[in-house]
Amino acid sequence: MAVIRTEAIALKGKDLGEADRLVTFFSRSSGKIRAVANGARRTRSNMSALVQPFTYSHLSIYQGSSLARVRSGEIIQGNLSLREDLLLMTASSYLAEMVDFLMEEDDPNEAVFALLLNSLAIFKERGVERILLRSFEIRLMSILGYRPRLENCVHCGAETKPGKGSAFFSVAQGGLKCPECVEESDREISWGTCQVLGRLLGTPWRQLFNLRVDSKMQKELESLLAEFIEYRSERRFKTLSFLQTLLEEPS
Amino acid sequence: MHYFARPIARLVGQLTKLPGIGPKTAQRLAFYILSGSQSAAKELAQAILEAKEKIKYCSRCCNLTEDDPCPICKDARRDGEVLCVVENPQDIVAMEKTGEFFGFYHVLHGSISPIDGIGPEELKIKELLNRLQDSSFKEVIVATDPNVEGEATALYLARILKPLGYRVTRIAHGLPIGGDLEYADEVTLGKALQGRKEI
Repeated sequence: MAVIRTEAIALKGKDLGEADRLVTFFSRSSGKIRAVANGARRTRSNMSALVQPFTYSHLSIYQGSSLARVRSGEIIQGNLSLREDLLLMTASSYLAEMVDFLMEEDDPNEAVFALLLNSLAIFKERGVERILLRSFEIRLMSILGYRPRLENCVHCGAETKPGKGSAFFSVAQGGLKCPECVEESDREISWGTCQVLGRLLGTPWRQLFNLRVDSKMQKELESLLAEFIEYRSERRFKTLSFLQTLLEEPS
Repeated sequence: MHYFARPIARLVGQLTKLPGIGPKTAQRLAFYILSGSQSAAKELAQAILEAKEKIKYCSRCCNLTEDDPCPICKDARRDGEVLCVVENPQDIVAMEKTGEFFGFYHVLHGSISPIDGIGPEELKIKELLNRLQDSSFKEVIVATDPNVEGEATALYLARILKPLGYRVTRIAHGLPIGGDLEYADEVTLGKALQGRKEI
């Protein structure tokens, strides 16, 4: 029996009982927490806004023997604008879905918390840009230990240097392969895409927008990372297909 | 080891399938039903069966109804220029209780929730678009819940209906009547300020 006081971002929620809501938060100090917000669906509840997805708040959570309960909270950033635009809302949901699925309960990770918080802040400021989504994906996978190996062949360790022709990426082994080790199942990608992939990991957020990525590279990156993430997580994220539809529609 | 006689266990099992009913509540309900008269139990079972057999979707508004079209859709006194879109049949009851709305309704039977894999195809949006064709509606009021799923649904509807020339409006967000301002959260108060009106 303990009371946890922490900063947290609401990821998702579902209705529970008459007027409660079971909410999944990602907190700075305790990682993913599922907690019941009693009466949060009532119009007069002071918890209604607190438990809306993407709300960043200070929370006080009572961790009992069964499900945790939200005791009280104070909003730091309501992030209302992320819920007032369909594309922003869907893109934010995609980030939330990834964090929710890939993180275990009671497994705090400051880097993931900061990544999510920063990404939502940049969405609010700049809107949804594909390069931001790709950067979030690759950074999250890297924090979780799945950083793709781009400097050496994942099979023999030989140095992989950009040259003529294409590069080959092994989704199963998680990195580039030299021409000698290439197998039929490896993906052929351009060296430009490889370089962008490396830069997505090392470039500060604000400078990401200066990266020159043409539409062919964008498509290559998008499908490569989608396959890479699906292979590692063994899941196709539900939000992704709706997000792709919205991104392809003229607004 | 079986704690309950088989028919009781079966009843408890069936009740547990209902939303918001856990094993303990299911047991309590089962024993309450058993403690009542034979006729009360029969009436309950018949009410469930009758509702299941007789209730269908209204072919116009997708509300649950016994007669098709439903009484609201048949009411000629209603305003044929305004259509109110709601998530669930229960929302129609809430709207009707206000006594402030005299147009027609359309029930979506859910809301868009990408994170749960619920997209526009899972809702009665196609039926809405079919209904709007060759209709006299000029305004569509989106009265979905003021949560993230409700907002997503409202934004999606605005995106597809505005280009077709309909006036798409959203019910207001704000402070509940009788509440204290100091207890209002920042988001609700902010919305209330945005939606302020001259007095």
